[in-house]
Amino acid sequence: MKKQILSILLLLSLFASGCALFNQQKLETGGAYAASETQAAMPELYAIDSSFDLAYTALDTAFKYEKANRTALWAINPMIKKRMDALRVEAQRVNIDFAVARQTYLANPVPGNLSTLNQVLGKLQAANAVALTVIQMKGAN
Amino acid sequence: MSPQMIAWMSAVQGLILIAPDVIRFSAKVKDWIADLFSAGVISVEQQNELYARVNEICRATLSGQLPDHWKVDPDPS
Repeated sequence: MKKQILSILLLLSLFASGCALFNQQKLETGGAYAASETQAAMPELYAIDSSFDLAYTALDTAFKYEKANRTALWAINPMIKKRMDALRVEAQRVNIDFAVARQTYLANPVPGNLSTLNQVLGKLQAANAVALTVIQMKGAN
Repeated sequence: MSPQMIAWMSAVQGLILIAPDVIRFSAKVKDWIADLFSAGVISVEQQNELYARVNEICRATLSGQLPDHWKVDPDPS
C-alpha cells in the first residue's frame, strides 16, 4: 500500500513539474495554443492537454491489455478485472468532467477555470497510476 | 508448471497482442519527456496535432462514444 501511494505521489509530482517546465516553452505563432488576434497564448492549456493525452493513452493501453488477456488475468486473480472495471467507470466519469471543464476554460480562460481543469486532470492521472499498480500487483494491494 | 505460472505466461504473451499500442504509448512517453527538457519552440504542427487529438477524445466522450475495452463486461464464468 505504501508503495502504491509513493508511486502515485511520484507520478503526480512528475506531472506537476512537467506542467511548470512546459510553461517555459514557446508556442510557434499560428498554432492552436499560440497567441492570435482573437486569443492570448495558452501555454497552460498546452501543458494540461499534453499531460491528459499521456494519461489517457496509458489508461487506454492498460484497459486494452486487461481485455485482451482477460481469461489469463482472471485465472491469476479475479480482482484484476473487478478493480479495472471500477477504474473504467471512474475514468469515464473523469473524462466527462475533463471535457466539460476544458470547454468551460476555452470559452472563458480565467485562472479559476484552469484550476478546475488541473484538478480533473489530477484525478485521471491518479486513476492511471492505480491501473498500473493493479496490473503490477496482480490485483492485490 | 503451476496453473498460475501458465496464466502469467499467457498474460505476458498477451502483451504481443497489444504491442502496437504499447509501442505507441512508449513513443508518446519519450516525446513527452523530450518536450519537457527542450527549451525550444513548440511547432504549429505539434500544437495542432495535440489540440485535434484532445478535442476528438472530448467530443467522443461527450457524445457517449466509448471504445469497447473501456466498457464494463460481465465477469467470465
